[in-house]
Amino acid sequence: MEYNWLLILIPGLPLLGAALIAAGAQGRWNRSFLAALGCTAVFLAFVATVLVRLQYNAAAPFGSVHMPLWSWGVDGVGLGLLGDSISTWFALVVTGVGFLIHLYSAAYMADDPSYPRFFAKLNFFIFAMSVLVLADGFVGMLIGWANVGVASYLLIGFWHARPAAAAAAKKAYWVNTVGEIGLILGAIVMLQHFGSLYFADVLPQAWFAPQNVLNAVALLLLAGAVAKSAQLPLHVWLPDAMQGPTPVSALIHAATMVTAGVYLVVRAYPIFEAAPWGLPAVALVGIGSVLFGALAALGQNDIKRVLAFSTMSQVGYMMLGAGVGAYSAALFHFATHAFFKALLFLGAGVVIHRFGGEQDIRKMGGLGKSHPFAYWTFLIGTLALVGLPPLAGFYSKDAIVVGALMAGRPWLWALAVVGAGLTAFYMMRLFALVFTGDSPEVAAFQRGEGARQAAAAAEAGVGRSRPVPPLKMVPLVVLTLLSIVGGFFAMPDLSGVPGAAEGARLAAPPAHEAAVAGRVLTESSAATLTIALLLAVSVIGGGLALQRFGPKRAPQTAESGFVKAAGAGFYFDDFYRAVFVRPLRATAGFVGDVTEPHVIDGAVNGVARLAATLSGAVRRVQSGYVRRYALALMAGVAVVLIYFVLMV
Amino acid sequence: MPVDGSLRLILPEIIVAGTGLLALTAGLVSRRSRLPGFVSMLGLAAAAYFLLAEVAGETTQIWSGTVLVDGFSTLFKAVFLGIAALIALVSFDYIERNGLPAGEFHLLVLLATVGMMFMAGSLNLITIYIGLECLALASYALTGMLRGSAKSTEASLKYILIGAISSGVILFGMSLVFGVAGSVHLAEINAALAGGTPMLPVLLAGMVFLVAGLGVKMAAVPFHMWAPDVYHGAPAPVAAFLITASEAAAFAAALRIFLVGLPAIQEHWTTVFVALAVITMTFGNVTAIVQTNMRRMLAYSAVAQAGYVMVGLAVASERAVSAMIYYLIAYAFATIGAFAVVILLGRYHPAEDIADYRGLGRRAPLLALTLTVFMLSFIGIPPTAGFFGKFYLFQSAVAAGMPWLALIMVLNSMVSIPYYWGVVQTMYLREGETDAPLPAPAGVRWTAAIGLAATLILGLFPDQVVQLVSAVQVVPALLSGGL
Amino acid sequence: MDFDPTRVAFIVVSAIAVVSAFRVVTAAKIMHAALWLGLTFLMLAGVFLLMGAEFLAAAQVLIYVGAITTIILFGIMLSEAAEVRGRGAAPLPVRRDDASLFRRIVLPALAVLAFVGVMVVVYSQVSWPDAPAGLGGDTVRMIGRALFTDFIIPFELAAVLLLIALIGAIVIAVRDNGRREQG
Repeated sequence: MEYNWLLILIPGLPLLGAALIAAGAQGRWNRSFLAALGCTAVFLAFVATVLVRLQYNAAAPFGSVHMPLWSWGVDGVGLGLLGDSISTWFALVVTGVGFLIHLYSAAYMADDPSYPRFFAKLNFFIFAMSVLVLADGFVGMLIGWANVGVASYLLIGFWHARPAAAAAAKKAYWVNTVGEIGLILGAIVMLQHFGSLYFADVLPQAWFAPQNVLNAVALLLLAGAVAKSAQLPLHVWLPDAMQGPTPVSALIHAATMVTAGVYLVVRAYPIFEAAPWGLPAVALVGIGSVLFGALAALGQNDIKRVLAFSTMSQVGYMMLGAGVGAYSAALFHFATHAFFKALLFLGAGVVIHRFGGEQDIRKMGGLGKSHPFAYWTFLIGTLALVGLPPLAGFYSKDAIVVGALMAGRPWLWALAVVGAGLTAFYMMRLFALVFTGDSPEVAAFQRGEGARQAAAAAEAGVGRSRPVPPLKMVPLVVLTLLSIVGGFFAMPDLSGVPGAAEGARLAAPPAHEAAVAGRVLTESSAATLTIALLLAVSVIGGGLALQRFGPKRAPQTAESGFVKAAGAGFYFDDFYRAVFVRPLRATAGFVGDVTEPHVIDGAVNGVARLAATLSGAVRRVQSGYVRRYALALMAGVAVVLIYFVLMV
Repeated sequence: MPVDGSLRLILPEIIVAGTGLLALTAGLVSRRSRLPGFVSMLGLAAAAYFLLAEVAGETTQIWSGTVLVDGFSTLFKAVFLGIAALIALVSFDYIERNGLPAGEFHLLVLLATVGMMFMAGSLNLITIYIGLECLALASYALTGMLRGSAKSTEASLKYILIGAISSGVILFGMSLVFGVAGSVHLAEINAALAGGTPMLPVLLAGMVFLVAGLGVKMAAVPFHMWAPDVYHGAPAPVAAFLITASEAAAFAAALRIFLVGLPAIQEHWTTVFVALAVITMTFGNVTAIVQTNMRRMLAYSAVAQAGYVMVGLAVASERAVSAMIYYLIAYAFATIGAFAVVILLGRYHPAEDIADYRGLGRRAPLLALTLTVFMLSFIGIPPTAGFFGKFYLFQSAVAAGMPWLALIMVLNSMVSIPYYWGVVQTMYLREGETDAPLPAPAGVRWTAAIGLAATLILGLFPDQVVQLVSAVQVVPALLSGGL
Repeated sequence: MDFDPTRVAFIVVSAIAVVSAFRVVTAAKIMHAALWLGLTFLMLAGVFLLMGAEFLAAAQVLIYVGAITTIILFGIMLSEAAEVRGRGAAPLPVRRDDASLFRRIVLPALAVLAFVGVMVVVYSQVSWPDAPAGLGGDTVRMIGRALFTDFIIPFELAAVLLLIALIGAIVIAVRDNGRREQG
């Protein structure tokens, strides 16, 4: 018996939830009820996803669940849902982690006046993200892609009264628009060449398409992926996006949406593999982002910005995995990363609430003693991210790095190992600064800055050891468990995915073999070497960080030039501002002046209103504007005429 | 006049004109009542009935070739009738609120419609020109109807002056073409030019003047400068009428003149239209970004949209023509729907700034949602009608070997996102000064609902509509044998 | 070149038409402008006459010189606005600076020159066919016949056009005492 209709529920329920909550917020319904509605919708979507996944598993290895929704009568352009190995894998994480973060938000956002609005938008995001990953073609993917952009924009700017949040939302929007242009152009080229936008039509053909077409498509798609996944050089929006509420950062800007680029690359892997420039470009972007993100994270002092750059770096690993053909490893890392990064962000939310909204880690410390729960969850998240066995990150990251070696790219492999060391360093720095040493109140007391400050802090409720509410605790516990055991899950494979069968028939390229065999490789000698090296650099990096920033940390000294540069994200923002933003603004102002020097000001100011008689209007006309219009008209005629006189 | 049943074929036009006089009379009988509006809508419905029941399917020339009835003209006439009816529907409240003379308003709208119907329904340059003048004169008067508003008066004057120039330019162009081809009938012009173009420079000059004169009506850059002022200053329903119907009529006339009359020099006028299309869409979009006034933003958006439609003329294939018609229909519904909301907001915020839309998402949730759909359609986001309009135009450009033109279209659509999306953002994200709900009059509600339904239906069933549209031929079948 | 009285007459008449058209635009007083306009119309009638279009020339004199110019003059005289009538009010202030000189003189002159130049080039590139052998005298009858047979629909449509003009003029011009804020 077919349960294809279950697919509809995955995006459908959250959409319904969003609509109901929005309507309910109009009707001033009970806040808790609306929050519960939002959580329930996502939970049911998760259940539906599990059922679809089971059904897919039953149909494996070449099965998939397909549900056409709409066709516009244009050949190859339509919308449908497809549940296969990749999409159900993503959907599981999106709805599952999404549900946990919904729960957490119910407690975290409880004091916000726009509580229901938050849930409506969060539900809307789940809807959009499910459409993105479940779409059966590039049309649906684009629809989802645009809508997650909208949701991300709305949620970054959730506290739109804050100018920084509004600016961050705008920035994210613009960068993503750049990516969307790439994606749309890519879709156009594909439609032009393949005559269809369905995965099932395009991807199997990709192996046989001309190289220049493939190169163009791959690079255009990569532009979209780079923007959405905050990879070099379009990463600038992600750190600023941390202006959004912390659950949003956890869900959208760490666990799910930023991995859409990885999804795109893995989904369209026949194109990337067949295009000569495809995989190298992906790998290059990946490794660049790994190192850049890790280095920039070193210089950050805002807890969420550290995590943001860490996200960029980790997504870089996923891209690297996809770029060396280790698709399964990339998918695997996506899932484990979703677990521990969501955990870290939610933990960061607890920390931020504990310090009364303070996000500067230099002003934190000593949380380990007062908040053991936060301490342990955050520690496990950190270790999972660093990649200590047997935590989740160990398996997935190793699989990627090993994949790089197996694909015959030792340089990428070496750099990825270096990145792992850096990761350990910045994560342990973060952990040490926040959880070890003295709490800021104690530190202030010891510095002799007087009891007044401490008293003020105590009055503000800072430092009081409040129990973590269960709604916050449950997601943290679940995510902690997942971060521990997530590595034991079976890695997804690509069988049954559109384009895979044709690729396999074509004497599968070596990179592809590496992907399928990713798990087996842990036994080979290369893998052993990699694991040993990774562990060594991680321990060294983490140890150095602990020594420098741990309980016996030296007093803060002046920052070195490198740390300053890293803190400023290596001045990418300034570069874009100087090269794009300012010239564009100036152009827009110029255009405004040139094209519209004389707006009708009839009713705009009172003086003109007095002159609102026919003769007044005549005078204004006579004073020159209309004849300029006429002059422009005739000049246009003259230009065209002169063109023909000269050319014909 | 022979009683050969040919009068039957222009019965819709006659009904519309007669309805205009009835509406005027109704306005005299009971001033400022809704009667003229109802009369007008009834008349339009009757005309539409006769058009679809009696005229549709006929293809014939009557009265020495001064009137042509064919699928193309019938389709455009139906569009004009529909637009006029929607304008009548949306302006009930507006007329009352601003104390406009209802009878005269509807008379002028209806007679302008008659003019447009003849513009689309003839291959004779003289008929087309007089139809154009009917439209133009009625537009001037309609634009200046708000006599208490300096904006309106000024817009009307500017429109009259520029319109007079464009009229002269068109006539000059027609006379040059007549001088070369020796006929005012487009099919005969075509036949005369088919054997070669002896006086090419003069013919080209005539073509340029025709492009410029019609370009004024289409609001093509650089002939557009009247348009923002007029669309901004005119009464809102009139602005919607001009943006949709007047522009569509200009495109209908242009299709006939260039595709039927001047295919001999197609390479030349397509060159001009390519340039105009690119300049127009780019200029319109870039300028729209910096607008803070809703009406002005929509005005520049109209300029940009005209640029997109012009891509069809630049490509000039059968596919492009059906894409143009689809686009014009889709755009008309979305525009009138959007103007319904503008009219409602203008009632409470006469300045019509985009900032006045703050908090509309709460004050009028359904209308805000509707406006959002229209904005998405303007951008060209699926599954709205605007997407498929752009898509078909795009396809036709690619199929005609002009992928770069298609690319420019796409880039322009991207550029247009911020200003359309800005409205949506303002409605939902920015807090208004008040949360007081905005009650909407029935006419506004119905117009917005019809616009919404049409935008979605066109977007969900585009192939059916395109099949309908592509059955229509600019060059009527009865001529293609003789050409 | 042979002395051709028609050509000389044409040059004289059209030169006067151009000069007076220029004066319509540049005249400081609107009354003068209207009279120059009348002269322009008259000269155009002369051009028509020289081309053998007697009916058109007659219509031009009757309608444009007779009716339209007269109506314009009436309009000016009946106007209440002092600056329109030109009595008791200073002429419209004209700024005289370099920019205005450029805008008022140089730019229009350039535009006109460019336009004339282009049209001259266009016309000179073409070998014009010989003038048609005359329309056979009775142009009034021919025009009347064409108007009421072949061109009956445009003719009727012109009636609609006049109605629009009439109503439109009333709508715009009629005085509304209960004027109020609109927009």
